[in-house]
This record gives sequence, C-alpha cells and structure tokens, in this order.
Amino acid sequence: MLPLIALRNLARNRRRTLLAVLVVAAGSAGLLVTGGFVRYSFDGLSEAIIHGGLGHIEVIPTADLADSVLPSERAGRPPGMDQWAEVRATIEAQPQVRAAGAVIQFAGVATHDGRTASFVGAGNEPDRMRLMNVETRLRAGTGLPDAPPAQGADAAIVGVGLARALGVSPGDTMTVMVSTVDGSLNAVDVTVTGLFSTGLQELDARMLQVHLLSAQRALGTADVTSLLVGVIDGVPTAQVEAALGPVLSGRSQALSALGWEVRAPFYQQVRGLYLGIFVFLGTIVALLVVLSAANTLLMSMLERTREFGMLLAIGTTRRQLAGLMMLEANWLALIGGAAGCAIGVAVSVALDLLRIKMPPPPGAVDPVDLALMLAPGDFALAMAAMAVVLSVAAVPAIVRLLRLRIVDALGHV
Amino acid sequence: MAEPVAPVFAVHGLSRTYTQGRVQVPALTGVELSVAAGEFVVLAGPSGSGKSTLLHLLAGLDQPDHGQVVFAGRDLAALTDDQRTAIRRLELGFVFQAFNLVPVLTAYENVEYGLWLGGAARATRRARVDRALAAVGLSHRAVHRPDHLSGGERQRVAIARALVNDPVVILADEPTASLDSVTGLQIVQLLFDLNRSLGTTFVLATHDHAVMARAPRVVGLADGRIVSDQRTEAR
Repeated sequence: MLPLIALRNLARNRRRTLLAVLVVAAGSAGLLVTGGFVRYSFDGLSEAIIHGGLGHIEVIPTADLADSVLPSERAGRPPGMDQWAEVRATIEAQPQVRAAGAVIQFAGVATHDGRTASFVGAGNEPDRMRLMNVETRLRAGTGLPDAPPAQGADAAIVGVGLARALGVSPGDTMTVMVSTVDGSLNAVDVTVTGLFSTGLQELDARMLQVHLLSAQRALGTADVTSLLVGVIDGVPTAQVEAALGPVLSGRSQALSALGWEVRAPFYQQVRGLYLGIFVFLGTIVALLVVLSAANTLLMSMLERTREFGMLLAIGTTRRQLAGLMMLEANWLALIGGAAGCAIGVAVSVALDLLRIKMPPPPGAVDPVDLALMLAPGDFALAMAAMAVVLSVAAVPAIVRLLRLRIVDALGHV
Repeated sequence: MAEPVAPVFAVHGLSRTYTQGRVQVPALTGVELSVAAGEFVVLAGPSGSGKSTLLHLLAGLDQPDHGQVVFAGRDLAALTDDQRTAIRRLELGFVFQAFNLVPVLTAYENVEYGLWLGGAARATRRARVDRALAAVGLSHRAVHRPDHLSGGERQRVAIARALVNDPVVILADEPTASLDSVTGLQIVQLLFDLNRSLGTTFVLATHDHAVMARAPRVVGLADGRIVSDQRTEAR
C-alpha cells in the first residue's frame, strides 16, 4: 500500500513534482550522454590503436621485454624472434584468431633532396595486416604492395609529417639508413608509394612503413621483432591472450603474449583523464540533483506534517513513514531516470543524424565525431545512480520525520 | 447502568506541563480517572482545559511528567515506542476534529489502511472494510476520495477507520467541531449507536453542549483538573 500512497503523493503538487522529475531527468540524461560520449571515445581510441598497427595481441620473445613492455621503449633492440613463421602458423590455427602478421620495429635516418630526418620504421606483411583489419589511413598515393619486393625494388609509405620534413611525395625515391643487426650501417633506396596518417601528429612526423622483407634485408636478418595477432570481432582479447599461453609454451625460445592495453600507455592516460572528468562532472550533477530533490522532498514532508502526525497516531511506525518518504524519492528517481534515458537516446539519435564534428583532441590530426555509444548497462547505471542520489536526497526529510513529535504534528497548521 | 467490570483506562496523578519559551504552562494537574469497558465518556471543558492533552496521554502519544496511564493493565510509560505504536494500531481507534484522512486515498483505502498496517490478508481487509463502511452508512461512497466527500461523510470515514480494527477504545477529539450542528448531532448519534451495538468504549473530548447533554458520563475539566464527573442513565 505504501508504494501506492507514495506514487499518489507525487501527484499532489504536480508542478513541483514535474520540476523535480525534470531535474532528475536532466541529471540522468547528463550522466548518460557524458558516459556515452566517454564510451564512444574509448571505443574509437581503442579501435584506432588496435587497427592502427598495434594489433590485439603481440607475441614477442620474453627476453625482449626485459627493458619494457612498451614498443617505443624497446624499439632499439634488434629483431630477435626466430622460427616466427612456424609460430605464426600455430597462432593462426586458433579458432578465435583472425590472422597474425610478422613485424620488425626499427629506427634510422632518411634523406631526400638534401633533407634529413630521423624515423621510426615498421616492416610488416601488408596482406596479413589487411586480414587483421589493420587499416592504413592513406592520404596520398597507394599502400605497400602485398608481394614481397624484389631486391632493389623496395617501397615505403611515409607519415605525412615525415614526408613534409623530407619533402617527399608519392613516386619520389629516398634513402633510408639503418643499423644492421651486426652494428654496421646500411643504406637502402626506397620508392615512396604513398603517404599515411596515424591520426597522431607526433607519430605522423616520424613513421614510415616498408614491407617485412625490405626491413629484413635492410637490417640483415631473417628474424622479426614480433607477431601481431588480430582477434575475431566480439572475442575478448584477454580470452585469446590466455588461450595463447599454452600454445606458446614449451618452445626453444620463450615467448610472451601481450594484450594491446599494456602496450598503449596513451590509451590508459586518455582513459584516466576522461574517467576523471566523468567522475567530476557526475559528482557535480549528482550534487545538484541531491540539493534540488532534497528541497522538494523536505517541502513535501513539511506540508504534510499534520498528516504524518495522524499516521503515527493511528499506528504507523516511524520506519514505515521513512519508507514512504524513501519510496516517494525512488518514484521520482524511476520516473525522472526513465525520462532521462529517453532523452539520452534522443540525443544519441540526433547526434547520429546531425554528424557533428568536434575539433581534433590535443596531438591528434583528425576531427572526431560527436557521438554517443550507449550500452544497456549504461541505462541501468543511470537509473541506479538516480536511485542512490534520490535516496540521499530523502535523508533530510526522513531525519525530520523521525524526530517528529506526534502531538506537535497533530497541532501543525 | 451496570457497574464497570474492568477498567480500560486507569489514570493516576497525571500531570503534564508544557514549556513555551521560558514559561511553564500546566496542562494537566493530578488527574485521576477510571474508564470501564463499554463506557461512553465525554471529557468536557472549555478550550485550554486539558481535554486534548488528556486524550493524547491516554493514547500514549505524549508522556506525562508525573503519574501514570494504565491501559488494559499496562502502564503506557513503561512500554517502548514500538509497543505503544502497536497498541494504537491494534487496540485504539482515533477520530480527529479535522478528520485527518489521507487525501490521496479513497474512503475505502483510508479505512483499509489500518488493517494493512496490522498485516491483515486482502480478503480479511475487504470484509472488514465493507463492514465498517456499512456501519457508518457510507458503503456507497467507498471509491470517493476525501475531497469529494462532505464534512459529515469524511468524519464517518474517519469513524469507520477507527472502528475497522475492532478496537477496545475509540478516542475522539472534538469530532463535531468542524461540522454543522445537524451533521454533528448525526455523528454523535452514530457514536452512541456504535457504543451500544458494538460495546466499544468511547472517550470523547468536546465542548459541544448538545453532546454533553446526551452523554451517559461527563467528566468536566477546567485548568487542567477534573472538576466534575457526572453519570446519567439518559442517552
């Protein structure tokens, strides 16, 4: 009976209830929209990282992780993975694996037309990268050919920033100088087939890619740095990472499998920053809703002081009255929260239709879509958050109720 | 009239003083009273004489400074708040001057509320609410909310609410004060009838002379003291 009374009590002062519902709806919609944008950003960033060249999982000799798990901090090591073709075949035999491709990380200096710039290079297998859904965002020219290049016919695609620094464009030939695994210098002429962007200015200014075979010839080795593994859509990376453990064990060369998140500190930093902002904004929203709803509930309680006195006089316990107040608060949370969820969906649909672009984030090249990614759990979370917030907002009214003297309440005008 | 067989209320040396700012206002002083089962007792007196204070103390809504209220053999002051609440819920009925119905509930639901508090089953509730509304002649108004009922009808709903638990005692605080004289008399007659037909004890506070004139026992109060206690056979 109390839920019924609580619901009907909300209809007593419709204007005040409507305002409270709007505040709660705005709060839950705010949380939902902010959370949806954060989720969209995380998803976009993780996809960009995974499909931008990092892969879901990297299989690498354990010895090469002695210094660091971060690719940038172990780039100076010479390729050390032998028997990689056999390992690759074993990995690709796993049902959750889309494809695996060998890569060589290297660094050196490139020159063209009297200009010189240092670079960070990656040698890879273009056909397998494509199978793994690793996308190269070409800005000009064409990508690397799938076929291994013949001796003296090496090709490269160059980051747009590095291309500007060197003054190269598709069709130009530049010289790449690297240190071989023996420690001697080697220079290779490569033809630029295209320019690409990683999406990050810092990387665009330093990156170039060549075919795996070109890198191996330049470095004088048949080994590779590691194997990148692409996981089938929908399969959790951690699950495949765990499944690869037994597959990789027992080999003459100890190998480790690393998920993408541990190799992407940038993602962790962005995630930490966004979550911090989300929590900060969420706290402010929750505080505003608490203050507004607390005022509404306290007003509602004070207006009904005599009624509460009567209810206590005829045998209602204070716990039951506290429950009544809590129910009213949670009805507001339910109605307002549901309205907020509807608003969140409407905003999401509107943003999809309007296709609004946001300026590139710091360090990034491309504008980002202003869009939301709403998961079913987000709605439940927004509703639960409002239930908690409204329960907190009911506390002042409940405290007042618990202190009510029945005789005074019955005489209240 | 037969002698009371056992007191429902036994009040001894009851005193209550309110503090208003720095002023001590004695509301009741040394009240002695005994109410037997089945009695209809009117507490009479002008405003400020202590009628409502005495009713509140009888119901355990307030605590005396001195003295004791023994209800059905139990000293109310010695009980916990929960125990007093249970007594009000199951053994006492209340009728207030301003009706004090829950405005968002229908007449039926207002009456049902007390039973719900007591944990009665739905079928039991229905039977007893129907019976209580019939007893006050309001079965046809069961689905109406208080704001669609006249003052007399609202007070009848309040009486039905007080009756529905089959209480030992019904306490009524100025039940006719918000009604016109004709309706007030109808309500008082209803209370007399219920007292006679159900045997429920009534303690009613009023300064309505028409009520006093028809009451079998009138306890007069003035300045917080009992100044008279008159019984009559007439009703």
